[in-house]
Amino acid sequence: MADLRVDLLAHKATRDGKPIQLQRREFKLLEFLMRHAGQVVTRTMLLENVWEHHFDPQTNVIDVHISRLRQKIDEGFERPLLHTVRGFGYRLGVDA
Amino acid sequence: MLSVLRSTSVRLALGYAVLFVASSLVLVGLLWWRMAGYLDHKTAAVIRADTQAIRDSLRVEGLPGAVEMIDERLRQVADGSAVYLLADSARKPLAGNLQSWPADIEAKSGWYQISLLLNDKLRTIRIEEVALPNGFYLLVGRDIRDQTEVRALIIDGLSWAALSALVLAVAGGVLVQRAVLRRVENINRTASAIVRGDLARRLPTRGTTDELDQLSQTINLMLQQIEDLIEGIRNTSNAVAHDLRTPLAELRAQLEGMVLAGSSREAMLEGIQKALADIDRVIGIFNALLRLAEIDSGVRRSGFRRVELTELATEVADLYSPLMEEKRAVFDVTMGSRLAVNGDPHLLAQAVGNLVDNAVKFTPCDSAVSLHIEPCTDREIEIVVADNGPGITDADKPRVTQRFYRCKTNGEAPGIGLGLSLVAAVARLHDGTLTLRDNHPGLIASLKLPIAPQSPRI
Repeated sequence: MADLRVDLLAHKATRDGKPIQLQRREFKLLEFLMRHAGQVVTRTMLLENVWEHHFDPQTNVIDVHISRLRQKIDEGFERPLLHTVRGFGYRLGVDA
Repeated sequence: MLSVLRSTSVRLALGYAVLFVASSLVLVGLLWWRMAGYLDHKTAAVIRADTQAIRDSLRVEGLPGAVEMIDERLRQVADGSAVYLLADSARKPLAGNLQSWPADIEAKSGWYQISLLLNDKLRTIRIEEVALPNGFYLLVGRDIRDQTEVRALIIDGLSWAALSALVLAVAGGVLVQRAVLRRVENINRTASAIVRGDLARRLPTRGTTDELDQLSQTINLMLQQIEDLIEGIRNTSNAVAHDLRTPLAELRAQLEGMVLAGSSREAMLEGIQKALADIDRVIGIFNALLRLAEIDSGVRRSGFRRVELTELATEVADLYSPLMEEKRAVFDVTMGSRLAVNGDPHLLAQAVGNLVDNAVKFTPCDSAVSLHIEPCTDREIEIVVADNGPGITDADKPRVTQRFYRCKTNGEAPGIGLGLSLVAAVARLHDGTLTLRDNHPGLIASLKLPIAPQSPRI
């Protein structure tokens, strides 16, 4: 997508050719977002698919994970890829 | 009359009366049987002694001696209750008080019971016939009217006894019924008052240990439990109404403001998104309530399986570690290996998650939160979550697990007051316990769960 590439086999991600250091969970999160690129992904969907938890955390714990991922993939780049859709969740994609 | 018969105590009394009469019958019957046997035996002994004496005097003194003896005996027993007859081989009377040989008595020696008219009275006589030497025949008999009289007496007495037992039993039953009925009526009246809505009413008790009093005490305990439950429901309903009204009122104000201000499209979108967040909060409260209700109903037990707590807690810790890092709090996670419980993995994760969530929420920056899981006894695993937050006062500790209860010290912290309620409910579902202790400063939440048996349940 755009200049973001994810190698599922090697468990590596690059943006604009530069490697991004991701922890296991962060990689899983990015993978899920990539598979649903362009779609809005809710917090519940992330919890169930990335953490395999079927419960609602009371605090904004997912937001924190997302913001950390955002730091890694969007920081230093002109066009952000990971967007927050207020009231719904998140969307990975090139803004129209 | 029918209503009296329908009363339990009267039926009981009648039952006792029947039982009493039956047992009297058995008792008197036995008495009669033994007494009749004794009298029979005694009569037979007297007759046999007479027979022997007459036989002896016939042998020693001849016929005149025997006749003399019979006459002598008859003189002694003049009322006709004794019968003697000495006859020759042709059954012709030689001595005694019978005019002729009785037709009922055959030639054969032995015992007979005959009816005779003697001294103008019809008598029942038990008689022995003996063949004496030299062709003589002897009849010796005794009136057994006494025995018949005793029998009549007994039957008579028994009838009276039965009758009075019946009367006493019925009268007693009625009295007992009245006494019992008054107390039952009392209970009934109180229960009716409670049905009409006066839940504070209690059954009168006497402080004794009789059955009715015990029943009343048990019912009172039940009423107390019902009242507590209703009070709990009332509190919950109030809390639900209150907690739902706030976001809904905010939502309404939001939308109203947008309409009145005639905002731009951008501002509208912004407002709608805020509205959605408010709606999510309301839905969140409902979801939490529904989940609590589901847990309390116990239906989730059917989905119990072996759950490795280590795995589960690692996931939870992993989920929350960025939040800890944001607060620069040390997150100390230690756990033993192979810690398995029987339970619902999602609920257990939610419970551990809620405890960690609370710890993260309340612990100040640059502090420490710990999550320990280890066996505490042979049968229990303890999950301990400790933080350095404000803690919970002793007064609040029992109340924080109630639905919607939020400590006043919480201030602006987000939450709906259902987190610990859910942990407590999950603990109950898994036959475990949730205890809260002070960490000086902070809170130690300890969730104890029974260890799963070694082999996974099939």
